[in-house]
Amino acid sequence: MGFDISIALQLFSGGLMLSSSFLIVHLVSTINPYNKPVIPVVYCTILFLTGLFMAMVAYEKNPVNAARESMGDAFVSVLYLLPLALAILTYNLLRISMKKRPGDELFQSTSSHPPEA
Amino acid sequence: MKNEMNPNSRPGPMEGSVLLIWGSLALMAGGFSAHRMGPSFQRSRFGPPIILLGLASFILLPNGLANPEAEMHDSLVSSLPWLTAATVGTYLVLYGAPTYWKLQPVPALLGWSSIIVSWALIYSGTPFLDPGEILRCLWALLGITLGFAAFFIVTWISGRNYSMEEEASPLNDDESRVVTSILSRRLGGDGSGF
Repeated sequence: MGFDISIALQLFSGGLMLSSSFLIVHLVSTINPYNKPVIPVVYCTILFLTGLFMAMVAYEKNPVNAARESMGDAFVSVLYLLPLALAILTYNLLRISMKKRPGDELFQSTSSHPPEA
Repeated sequence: MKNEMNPNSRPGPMEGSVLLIWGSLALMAGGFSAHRMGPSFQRSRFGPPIILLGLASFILLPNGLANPEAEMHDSLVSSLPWLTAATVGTYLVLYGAPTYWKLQPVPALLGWSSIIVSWALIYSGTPFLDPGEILRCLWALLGITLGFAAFFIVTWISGRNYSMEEEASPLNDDESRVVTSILSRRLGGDGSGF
């Protein structure tokens, strides 16, 4: 399989747009009085527009179709790679299943010497 | 919607089902984020229903989709059985693992059975992973990783630029109860010593 810069750009821009749009949704859906999301939202929008520009160059289509195509291809690519992620997850689950619970020094010290009022 | 640059492009006209697909994905992402917000023992109660609503509308509602949404839909639907088995298995293995408490054999065994089922479903349902295809897909992963990495760097830098505006006000009754609850759970007492 030869290296095709156009396909690489299509998938890369799709990944960039997927992550930035996810982060925008994340920032909006977790809005609370303790965070200041304006700068991150503006930054994610710039990131999305950068990805969109790359997709328009790679696909030679209008913005809507370029975004749909590249994000769709990136989404399918991520699903294709998920079995590899499951392999890593399975390995880590094996590790924690075989590991003994570590001793908790704080818990042990407070069990024998309860905190004073 | 007419494609001005290439009239023979793949995507069909912008239909309601297309918006539904992307809206469902946004719902799932928003539900996941809402579910992860808050202290670990009191997550947002709206997260899981929003995720399920997004997933249900993604799988059940679309009709007559054109590419690329049809491809996305088919890929997710074909991956859903093993994804479900893997998710349930992971939850049960973590629940039964001795990380936070004693080993619980029944959930652990059920979890591992579910993970084995998910691997069996992967091998029976999908063609063997092609190295060339994996390399191609890594470009998407690179884009996603770069997006997240750049976001975290910018958030970190912008967070450093906020100065301390004023001294924090004392904890109110609700906040005091939460802090006491965390400390008593952590230290193993009933909280009466605080």
